[in-house]
Amino acid sequence: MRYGLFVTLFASLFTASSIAAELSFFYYREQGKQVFQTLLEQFSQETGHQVALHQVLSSDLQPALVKAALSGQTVDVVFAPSDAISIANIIHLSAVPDAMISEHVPPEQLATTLNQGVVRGIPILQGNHLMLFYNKALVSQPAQTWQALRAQQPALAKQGMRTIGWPYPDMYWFAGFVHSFGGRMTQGQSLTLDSPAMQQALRFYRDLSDSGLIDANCDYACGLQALIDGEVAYAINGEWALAELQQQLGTQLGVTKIPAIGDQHFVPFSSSLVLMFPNDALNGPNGEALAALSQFFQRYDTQLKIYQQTRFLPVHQQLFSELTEQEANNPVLQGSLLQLADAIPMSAESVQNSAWTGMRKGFELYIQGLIDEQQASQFMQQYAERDHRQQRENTP
Amino acid sequence: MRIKQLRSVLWLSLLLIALAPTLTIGAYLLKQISELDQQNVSHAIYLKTEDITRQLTQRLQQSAREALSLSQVSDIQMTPNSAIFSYQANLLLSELVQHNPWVSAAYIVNLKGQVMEGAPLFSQLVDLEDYHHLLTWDSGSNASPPALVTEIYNDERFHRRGEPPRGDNHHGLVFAQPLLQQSFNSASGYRVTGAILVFIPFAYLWHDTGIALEQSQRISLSQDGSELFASAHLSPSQPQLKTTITAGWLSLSPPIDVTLSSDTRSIWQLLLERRANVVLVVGLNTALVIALALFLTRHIQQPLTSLTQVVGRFSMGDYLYKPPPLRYGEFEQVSELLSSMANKVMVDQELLEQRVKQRTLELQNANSELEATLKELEDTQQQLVEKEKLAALGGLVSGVAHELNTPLGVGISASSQIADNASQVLTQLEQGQLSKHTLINTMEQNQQAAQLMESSMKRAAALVKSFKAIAGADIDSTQQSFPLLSWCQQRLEMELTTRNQALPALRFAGDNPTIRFNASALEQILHSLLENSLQHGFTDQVAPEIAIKVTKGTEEVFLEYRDNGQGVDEEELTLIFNPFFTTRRGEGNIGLGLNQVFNLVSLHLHGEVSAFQVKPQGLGIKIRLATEPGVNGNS
Repeated sequence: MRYGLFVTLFASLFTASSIAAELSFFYYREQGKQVFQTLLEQFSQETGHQVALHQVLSSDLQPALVKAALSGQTVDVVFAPSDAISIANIIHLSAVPDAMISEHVPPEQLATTLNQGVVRGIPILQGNHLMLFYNKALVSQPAQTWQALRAQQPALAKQGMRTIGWPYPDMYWFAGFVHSFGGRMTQGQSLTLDSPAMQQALRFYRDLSDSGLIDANCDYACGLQALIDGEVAYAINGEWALAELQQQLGTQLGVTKIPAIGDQHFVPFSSSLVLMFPNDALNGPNGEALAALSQFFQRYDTQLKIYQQTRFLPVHQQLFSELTEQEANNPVLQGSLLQLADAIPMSAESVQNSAWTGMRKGFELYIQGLIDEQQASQFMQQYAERDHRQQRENTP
Repeated sequence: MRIKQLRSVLWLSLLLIALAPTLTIGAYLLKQISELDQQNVSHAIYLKTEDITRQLTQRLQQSAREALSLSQVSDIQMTPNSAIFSYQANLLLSELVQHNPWVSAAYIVNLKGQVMEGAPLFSQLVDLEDYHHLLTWDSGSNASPPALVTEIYNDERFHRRGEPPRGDNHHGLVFAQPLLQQSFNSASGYRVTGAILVFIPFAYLWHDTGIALEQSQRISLSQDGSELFASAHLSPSQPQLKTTITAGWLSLSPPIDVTLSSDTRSIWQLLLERRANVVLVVGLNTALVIALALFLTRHIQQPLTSLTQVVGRFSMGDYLYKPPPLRYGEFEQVSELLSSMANKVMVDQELLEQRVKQRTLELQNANSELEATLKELEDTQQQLVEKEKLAALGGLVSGVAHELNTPLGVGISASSQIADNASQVLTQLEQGQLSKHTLINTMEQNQQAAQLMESSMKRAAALVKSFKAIAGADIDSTQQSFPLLSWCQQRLEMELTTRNQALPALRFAGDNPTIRFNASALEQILHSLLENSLQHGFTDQVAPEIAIKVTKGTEEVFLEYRDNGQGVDEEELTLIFNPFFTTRRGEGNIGLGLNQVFNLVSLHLHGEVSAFQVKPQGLGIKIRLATEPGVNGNS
């Protein structure tokens, strides 16, 4: 499929109209594609610029961007989580001038786009964080700690359902546990994978599957469809899935913070979803069109539409405040915001990319029982450092 | 062990005769088959070796093709530079390992030999420093795509974790497929960014090829004479057939030799292999032999059995039995002879019967005569016995009458005299003519007569007492146990102490068995014998002697009494036990002593008594006493 997509991308690049700018828009999110498509059509109507939207799956985004960059292919704009900025040097992301940033973008959101002190993206949405979803029909009082969750397991098992689901091998979910134990994947430009907190997190995480609370082979469906189908009582999923879950479960959907580990509250990642411009597209022939596009997406009305239709959280500060106030009685939104308050923003530095890979490699070896947690955290650190070093060496 | 039954001999003979040629011919055929089999096996081995080599080659080529194909995937090509592509690359590597189960591990390495990705998971922990030398390509631009590099390795780390090593073979083949980046911006040239390393242990390469090796076969891989892998161990002493095919795998130099070895099969193994046929042939042969044996033994055994039956019937006297017809003239001849023998026996038997009848009749007649004679003799004997009894009774009665007659006569005379005197006195008294003198005389006469009558009556009473003693009526019948010889000695010595006359010397000899007997009777017997010796035997003997000898027999005891008196004449020996027999009647002996002995022995001791002459002189009395079994014995 990825090859087909790449071919489609190439085809679309060569068949674009020359009357107004024709932009290729990489949309990275499984949800909300149709909404964005509609908005891009609106943009096209308003400006005359044509925008071709291409959806990219999460695991394919960075490789696709790098390949495109290395092969000199044009991708004008990418809408992706801010951590994708970590490959800024490889894909030659444009530095975004301050003029292109809306005044309504909060500084903390802008900070998520910094790579070596340079803003490399324009925040459009915020959040992208994990939270705890649960079925109110099955859970009257959501567990606030993992211990409490374990205590609910026997009763739920008697009803023939699993307690909780999430894509167990996915590092985005595991990272929250590392944070909860006080660890960090990176600190500035440094990798900090090898730490006692990492080891504790590994042990705790494996124990969750060993004790039967979560199936170690759980994939994304465990955290979405299983909850919808009533196979699990709880699910850990992201803010991106909130609209779909609300649509499916209606008033039965409950949202709250992910259970704490003892007295340590759970700390998931958060990030902004940004527009970024590979191959320095902002300074290319489509720069003006891209600037207009950026302005379009930062508008109040556009952000409002996005929220209304997708429940994605806007970065527009005013809009965000209004929404927070208006929906103070919306337990779903309030639950999401409650968790967001405990989240930490993902780094956009280049080490973050290597950190993800290194952590995944070490995690896989540990979960398969090939190495212990100490060896795993060391492996993570060494692998990530080597990869980062290589990237630096291989990046012209 | 000698075999005595014809049947067994026949069976054994037939078996030997039938099997000997079978075995000889069979052995020859087996040898021929063995040689032919060897040729077939050699050819089969060659074909199998070809097949194996082809399969192994296909496997390696498949792995090499897939590695080459992967090396052209951009994600794989990019992985040595950045782990951004590692996730996808790992999926592809895992697919390669899955599609090629003989691949132990596959890696993507950079030009420094550092592992960027590896599959399966455990392989990422293996340090590949020893294999860096495989990455021999120029890292700069190459005009043409660099070639695959292949090498043999010996490394036990490439067994999959959790699987036991397959045998102790650690050799394998590793090839390095260069990862090339063709620059799109330049017209030509390939830049090597890294490599795909694929490790294939030979044990895995061989495993599950689907080619079944027999137990005696072994596949081995070697290079330059050095064995790298073997599927099994072979005993070096076993002769083998071998076929070797050289495989130029992935341009490996020197190439690999694929050798299939097989034990040569012994005739025994050949037999086992073709056991179905062998069993069939042997079975058929055995069945034929058995059938033949059965046929022949039956044709011989049956007539013999019939003949045995005939003899048996004849021996039991059934001479009218008709033998059944038999196969074969020889048996029929014997049967006829037996029949004629039976007829002769019948005729002889009839003659014999007639003779027997005649003899029997003669014997019957003789028997009848003898019976008549016997009856006559018995009658005569009876008459004689009666006469003797009557004579003895007559003698006894006349003896008793004789003895009693005198005292009774005297008594009667005396009583008559008294009666006459009394009558005379009365008459005179009545007449008044009785004088004192006459009265006194008459009373004195009567007193004398009364005294005479009293003595006569006493004498008669004594005689009657003697007569009673003969019968032994006064003898106590109590039986007691005593040692016989000792008892006799005691009694005789006591008997002699009561006498005042010259006592005879007593001698005692022989056994001294303890027996039960009527001691009163024996005591009386000894007394009577002693009296007889003293009164009759020792009258002229100056050194009288009495000897007692006891002899114990099986069921009887003999008591001999001997004296050295004058003895008795031979003809009188049989008479001395008769009542009233005495040679000294005139001396007051009435002759009842030995008769009393006879009666006491017969009636109270339940024995027998006889008399004999003692040499040189004397009388011997032998008494036979019966013993009670288990009670009496030698003391």
